[in-house]
Order: sequence, then structure tokens, then C-alpha cells
Amino acid sequence: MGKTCYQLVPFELYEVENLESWLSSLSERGLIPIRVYHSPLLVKCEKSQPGVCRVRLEPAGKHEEDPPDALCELYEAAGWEYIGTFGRMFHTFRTLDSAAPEPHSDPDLYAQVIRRTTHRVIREFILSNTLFFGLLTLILVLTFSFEHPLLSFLESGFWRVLYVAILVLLGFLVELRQLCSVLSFRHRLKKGLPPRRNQHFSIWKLTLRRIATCLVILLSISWYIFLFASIGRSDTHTIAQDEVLPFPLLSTLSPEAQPGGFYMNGSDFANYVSITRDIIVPLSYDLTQSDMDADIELNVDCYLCSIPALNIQLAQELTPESAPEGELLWSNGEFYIRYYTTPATYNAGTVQCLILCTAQRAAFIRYQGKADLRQYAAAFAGLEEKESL
Amino acid sequence: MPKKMLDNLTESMFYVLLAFRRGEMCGTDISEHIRNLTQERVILGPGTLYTILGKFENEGLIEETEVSGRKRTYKITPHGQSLFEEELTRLKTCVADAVKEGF
Repeated sequence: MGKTCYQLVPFELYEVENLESWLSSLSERGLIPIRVYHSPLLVKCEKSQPGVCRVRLEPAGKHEEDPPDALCELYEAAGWEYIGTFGRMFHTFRTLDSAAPEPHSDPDLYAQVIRRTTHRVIREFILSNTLFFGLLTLILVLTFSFEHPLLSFLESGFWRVLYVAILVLLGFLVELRQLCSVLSFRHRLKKGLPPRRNQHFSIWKLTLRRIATCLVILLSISWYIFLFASIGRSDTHTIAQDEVLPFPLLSTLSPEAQPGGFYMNGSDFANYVSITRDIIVPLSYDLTQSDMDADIELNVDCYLCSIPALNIQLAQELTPESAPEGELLWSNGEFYIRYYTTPATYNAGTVQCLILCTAQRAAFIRYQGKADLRQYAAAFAGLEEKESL
Repeated sequence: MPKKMLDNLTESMFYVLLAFRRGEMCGTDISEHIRNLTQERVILGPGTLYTILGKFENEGLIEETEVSGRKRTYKITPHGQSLFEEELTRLKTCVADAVKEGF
């Protein structure tokens, strides 16, 4: 075997005519395709003298990762060699024999084979988009109905929302384009026209398509990084229990209760930091429906909200009288404290305080990694001095 | 390229059923037989042949008789036989009508 190299596939999975033309045209440049993969991005070629090599894609059956023996037997008997299953969708065969017959000699039957592929593409298109947009709707509903902090990356500003929207739109358009490709191919076959397999592509077109492919891959990767970075944050900092000011512990209210820890979740959402307190409720403490209905009973666990490391008392005593709705509880001109006690967080045994601050203060309160909270106290102190001057 | 549909059978399908009149056959035998019979006018590609055999087997027109390695041998069923004869009768009628018209 001569030297081998890899070529980036400039076409999408369902562009059957383009793929067959391009794969076949590689041989004119002295590159004989010897292997295609389940990932439809790369094709392995062997360097040799320019020649003629035909490559054809045979639609794979459902859950068919390798071609059936009977199919291979027929292809090999006709002078074709199997070189892999392209994108788990097309068994790919090649021949260097110019006398080997075309695999699909009957356009009507070929149209029926492509029809099965079309149905599969349509099914996948509907399923993936239903799932995706269903999930997106759920995220939006959760975010705007319950203000779930894990999903609040959607609240993080116009540019991020725009970025996510562009990614979603791009993904949708790529799928739509694939669907159109296969439908158009099937339509051509149904009309009794032969497939266009001798297309020539300019270098510019191929380069642009490759750049587009790379762009889609990079954007897809960045989407996942963005998603997981937003949801599964690892820069949680635990504030020692003794750093917290006289928070009346649940144990003081209920002798059997265990003290909970205080966690500060870092956030890059620009303008708020969330503090989560776990409440460990003793087994003997029965959470009743009346507790859920009357938030005030739970509020008492967290009625003084402060961060001693900042030397700032963020909240006054929160009593049912001062916070009858459990919403906006305290304001000092700069900070807005919200205390959420939703049935969801209640059931999870968690109370959350979201500390929202104005844009002016955002730069200083933004939490970074595992930095000591005291540096924020210093930053605030500096800001206070500047403002007083 | 004009369509070659013969009712439910395309030209390729017709020739495959015709080939089975000679007895049990595997895919390569069928392809070779049709090529010789039609003097290379009808050449069945492997993809087409595989599709036809799968379709015929699903519809009960042929049945598998032997599997030897990757090679599969089939034979025509009575249902396949009757379908072929119906198709042949229809074709003969078409030709007879054309002859009546002076062709």
C-alpha cells in the first residue's frame, strides 16, 4: 500500500450525488478512497497515479452499521469493493474496473431505495427537532416560571442569547438542507432522470464548503462547552460555617435538626451571585402541605442574610411582615435581595438567596473561581471611598 | 430515460422472476443469466438485484433455499409463479393488440 492521507469531506451526509461525484473525482488527483468512517467528516485515501475510480453509496438499512453479507457478495461479484459505512447511513463501495456495472441499474427501484432513506431522514428531522425545541421550551418555561438558577444562563444578556439563537438556527438550517438534498435527489430519480455523478467542483467551492463544515463543528463544540459550563459549574466555594454571622441555625429552632452548610456558587452572569443554603431536615421533622402553603415557616431559617467576609449585612431581618410575598425583601439603593422559597426548592430541602446587584457594582461582586471573598470586601471598600470622594 | 414499469413489476423485476423459471439460483447466477439472455441489453447492478431479491422475499414471491457462506440461493414460490404468468399474459395481450393495429 502506498502513502495514505485524509481528506476533509466538503459535503453533508445526504448530498448523495455530490458525495459520489467528489469521492470519484479524487482518483483524478491520484487519491484513491480506501476507507470511509461512521463519522462523515474524513475519508482515507491512498496516493497513487491518477486514474478512474468510481465510488457509490448504498443506503444502509435501519440499525445496519455494516452491510449484510448478501449485499457484499453481490457487489464483490460485480467488481465492487466495500470501503466502509459513511456516516452510518451509506455503505460505500468503490471500483477501479471500468466494466463493472452501475450498482443501481433500475432508476425506479433506486428511487424506492432512496425513498426509504428519505423517510428515515424525515423521521430523524422531526424527532430531533421535536426533542430539541421541546427541551428548549422546557428550559424557557423553567427559567421564566421558576427562575431556576441552573438555567439562568439565558438571562445573561443579549449577546449570549443571540449566540445561542444563532447556533440553534444554524443547526436547524443544516438539518433542513440535508432533508432538501435527499428529497431533491429522490424527486430526480422519480422523474426517471439518472443521478448527476460527473459533477466538477471548483477549488473555491470545495474550500468554502470545508470552511463551513469546520465552522459548524467548532460552533457545535462551543455550544456543548457553553451548555455544560453554564449548567455544571465546578467553581463552587464553600463558606465555612463560622464565617457566617449569627444565622440562627435550624438546630436552634428544631433540636433534632443538623446544621446545614452554606455554598456560594460562582456565576459569570455578570450581575448576580447566588447563595444556596442546604437545610438538613431531620427525619422526625414532617414537611406538611401547610408548611408548603405557608412559606413563612420556612423563611425563618434564613431570615438574616449577610456575608461577613464582605463585612456587609445584606439583609435585615426578614419576617413575614416585611416580606409578605416572599419577593423583594430589602433594598439599600444598590442591592436587591430576593428570597425564593418555591415548592421545588422546598422539597429539595434547599433555600436560596439570590443577591442581585446593579450593573455598577457587578464588576466587583462577580465571583471568580475560588477566590477569597475577602477580596470583594476590599473592592467594595475601595469603591465606597471613591464614591465618598 | 423513459420509465419501464410493467404494472407492479419493472423490467428488471420481470427478468429476475423469469430467471427463476430455470430453477434455484443465487444472485450472481441470476445476474449472469439475464445478461446472457438479453445479450447485455439488461445488466442488473448489485444494488438493484439486492433490492429486488429482498422485495420478492418479503412479498413471498421467492424463498431462500440455501445459505452457503455469504452466498444465498433462492427458488420461486407458487405465488411468484402465478404473478409471473399473469404478467406474461398481460404483456402478450399488449403485443397482440399492437399487432392487430398493424405494427
